[in-house]
Amino acid sequence: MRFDPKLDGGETGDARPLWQRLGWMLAIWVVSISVLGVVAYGIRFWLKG
Amino acid sequence: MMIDGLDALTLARIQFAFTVSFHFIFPAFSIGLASFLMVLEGLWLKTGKPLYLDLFKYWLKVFAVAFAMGVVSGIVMSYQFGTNWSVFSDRAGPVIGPLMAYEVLTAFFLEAGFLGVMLFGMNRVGKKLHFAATCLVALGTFVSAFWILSVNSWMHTPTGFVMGDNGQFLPGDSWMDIIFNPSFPYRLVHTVTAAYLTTAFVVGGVGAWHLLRNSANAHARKMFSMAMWMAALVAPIQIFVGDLHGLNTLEYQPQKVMAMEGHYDSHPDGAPLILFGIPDSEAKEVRYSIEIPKASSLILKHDLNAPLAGLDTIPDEDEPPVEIVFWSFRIMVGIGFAMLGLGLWSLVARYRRKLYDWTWLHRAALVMGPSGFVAVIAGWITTEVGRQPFTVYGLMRTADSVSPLEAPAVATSLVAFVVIYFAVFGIGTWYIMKLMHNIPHDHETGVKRGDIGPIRTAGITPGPSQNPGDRETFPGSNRESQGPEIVDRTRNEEGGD
Repeated sequence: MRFDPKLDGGETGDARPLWQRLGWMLAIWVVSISVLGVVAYGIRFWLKG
Repeated sequence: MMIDGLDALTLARIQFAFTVSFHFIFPAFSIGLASFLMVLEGLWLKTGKPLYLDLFKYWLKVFAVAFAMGVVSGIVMSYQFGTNWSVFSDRAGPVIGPLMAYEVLTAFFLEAGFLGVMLFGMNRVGKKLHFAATCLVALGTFVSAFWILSVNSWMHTPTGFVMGDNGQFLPGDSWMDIIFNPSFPYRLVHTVTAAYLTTAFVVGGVGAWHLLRNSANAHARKMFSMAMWMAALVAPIQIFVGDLHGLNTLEYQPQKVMAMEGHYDSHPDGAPLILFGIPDSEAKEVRYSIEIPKASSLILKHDLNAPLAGLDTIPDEDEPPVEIVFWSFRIMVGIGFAMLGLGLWSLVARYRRKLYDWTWLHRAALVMGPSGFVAVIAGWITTEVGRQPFTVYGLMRTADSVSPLEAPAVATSLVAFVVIYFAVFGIGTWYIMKLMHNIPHDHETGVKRGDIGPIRTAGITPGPSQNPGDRETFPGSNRESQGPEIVDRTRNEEGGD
């Protein structure tokens, strides 16, 4: 996945079919909360230790 | 070591005060910033003006760092309920546990989840879904604040529970009575409004900083103008809401108001408003006080001669620490009125068409940039220290809430927190300052200017600046260097406000 700090890819995104855009939204959402979950568990283990 | 001689309770309180103060800074900023980003992206989609997208990109990077630090510091705090305040968690858990769980779920599934889409998803999901993600993040910050402030308010004005045989607070007939406890609506509005103002003053301070360097910078003008509108419109609303919150506190937590006002003694014929003084809890008086006769009764009871009870009606063991509450309250109120003053000044400047050229206004806005953080921390100290010596007001003492820990254990973790927090969040805050130091410009990217591309064409011919108005690019006069396009757009921006 490419980091998109320029946020200039709106046209590229709009060109995709809706199912693909929704799929990407779900995928990024799942990855994001997974990353946060890992961070939370890391802190938990640190505090328990 | 300085913390030698302190007991586990005091150390646990210091630790919580330290971590919550650090934590509160970040959501106080990100709640307002999320909504600001939503407005910017909405304006970009509606108007098509790239300036709004540039500002969106500029502040998105700041938001991402602030949000990350807010989440990490918040996770530590939620675990702290178990490590240092296990007795409180055990007794109050059946009531506050579900509400805190909703807060965490909101932070995870709305805020953090859709922040990923905001940062990574534009070229994957398109503009409209990206805007939907931005809206959901903004909504998430508000809903998250809703739940955590409901929990906090319940600790101030506990309702809707029954006391179990084992001493636990158990949910009563209606969760609505717990969630919408008497102080919650006032605290929610007052705190969220404070977060919006905090963000507005940071944005205004950053805009002012860049206007002082180059008053023709269209991006700085726009962010300064938007921030000053917020200051002018929301600061008076916040003062009004704060007054309502104070009246609610007088009804449900009178000794907190007594401490805020410095009223050690009762006043049967109208209480004075003590503007300044030095509270002395030993002598139970405010030394060197400057007072307005009967004004406190007028504010709190809307009657000059209304009687007001003082701390002499409260048992000593139930009194909050007056000195801390007295001063933190004055700091909060003082900053609130300073915010109002700046907002009114900006209206005068706008009327006189000097909003972008009044150097002293910009300097004042720059100084006031971090004032929102000081105000929210001072306000938080007022309300939390004012609840002492209880965790659940009137029902459970702080001394009875702490975990059965030895002082050295708490001291060790406290030292670890201090070291790690200052290191991690110090770096994060430095990075945010660095981002805000960067001049907002066309085609905002977030990478260093040198990484954007060449600023000179080949040979010796100077190329067009990628960052108009940047003194590093044009060491000489900025205004002469910017060309007509910038000047024309600047005029448009003025008209558009």
